[in-house]
Amino acid sequence: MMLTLFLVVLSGFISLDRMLFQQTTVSRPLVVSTLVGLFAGNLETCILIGLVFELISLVELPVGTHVPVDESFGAYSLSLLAASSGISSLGGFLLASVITVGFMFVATATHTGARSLNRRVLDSSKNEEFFPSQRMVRFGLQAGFMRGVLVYNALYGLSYLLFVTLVPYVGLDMSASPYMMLTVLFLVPFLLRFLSTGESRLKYTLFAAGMVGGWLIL
Amino acid sequence: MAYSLNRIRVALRCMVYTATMNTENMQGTGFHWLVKNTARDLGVKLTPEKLSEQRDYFTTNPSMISFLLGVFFKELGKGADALYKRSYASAFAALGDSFFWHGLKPLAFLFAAIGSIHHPVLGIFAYFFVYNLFHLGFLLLGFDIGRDMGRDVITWFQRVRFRQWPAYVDFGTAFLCGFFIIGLMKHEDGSLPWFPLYALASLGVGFLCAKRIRILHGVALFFVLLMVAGLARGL
Repeated sequence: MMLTLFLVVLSGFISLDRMLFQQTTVSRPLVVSTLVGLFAGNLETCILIGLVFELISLVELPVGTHVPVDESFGAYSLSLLAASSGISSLGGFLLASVITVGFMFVATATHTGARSLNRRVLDSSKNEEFFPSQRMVRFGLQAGFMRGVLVYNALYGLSYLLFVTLVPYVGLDMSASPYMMLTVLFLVPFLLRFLSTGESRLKYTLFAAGMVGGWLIL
Repeated sequence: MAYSLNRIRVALRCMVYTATMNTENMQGTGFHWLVKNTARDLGVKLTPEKLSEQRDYFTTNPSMISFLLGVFFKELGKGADALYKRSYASAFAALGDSFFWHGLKPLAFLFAAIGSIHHPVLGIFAYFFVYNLFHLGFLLLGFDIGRDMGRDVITWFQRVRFRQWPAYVDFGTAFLCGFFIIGLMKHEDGSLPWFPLYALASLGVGFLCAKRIRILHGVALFFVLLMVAGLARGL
């Protein structure tokens, strides 16, 4: 009961923080997954999930009017699936990921919808004698929070139902953990490429030096 | 005491002003709310026309908003608030996006990722601390700096060489990327034989794909490769 309440409130704050351009970092996918894993279980898998979505999130930026895919929802939902259903096999991981990514686009559409809702509220307020920005900010905060509570958890529920229905038919029973690590390793070059502006040779040299340093120290 | 409370209140408002983000006036409604409340706290009287102007189209990087707010109130008395609001909004958008989103977030992530490998709570704190040291720091200090310097606030950024910060941070991030990869590889539980070879192959495929395709498409492609690898291993 307490766990459910915590997750519901967490989902609200994740959505709100995301709509506020992630000002408190609570909606960062790695933070989301770690929190879910700490309280719901299967921590190591959740952290790996967080690493995957975090790397996507770092490269897909909210520039201008562009709304990037909701990786915070992705991390939340897939981590909850891992905690509740125990994604231990490669087949399970791939199935859960495909389902989650699909619903990620639905969650993203609701973020865009929230912006449209803000616009409608703005349009309806234009003729008021005193522009009610206080009321509109309050509405935006409430809408952001409720989006998380309702949309995130509803989509997670659908993901869970789909997953438990389909997972018995999926093979690939080998351990998922090393393959999740391989996914993270595959995504790191995207981050490096994202950074590589200007002094590319120096950056790749530093990257190699980091690998050598890690090998010697860790 | 009242002055320090004012600073914190301004910073808290700066954290939530984007709640009204929309495609018509972007952050305009939020900026109107910021100006109205800050004017009330400072005891500044704004004409209805001046206040109404603030709800027009407006966008900037949210981490830099408190500087802009300070500049606005400094220049308000000189009648130059609209000009400097417009100029600094785009300048701060470029500076803020470049440092906070392009540079600092990846660095904070790597501290958190390396921390998470050893202790998950450490990872969360690392992320929160590294990012918010600058983010909350700017929100707390920016209003005073903007209000003291007004139109010349750009000299403060030149004095601290803020334009070079993303490059320095990128160098640190590149180094930590390598560090993190080795940490992750050493953490593998041994369930996949020849894991280092697969790891290098994944990195190689990643480098090939990173130049050519969008990251989401890359993930989809890699999942297909994983499925094929898994099927091949199962045969």
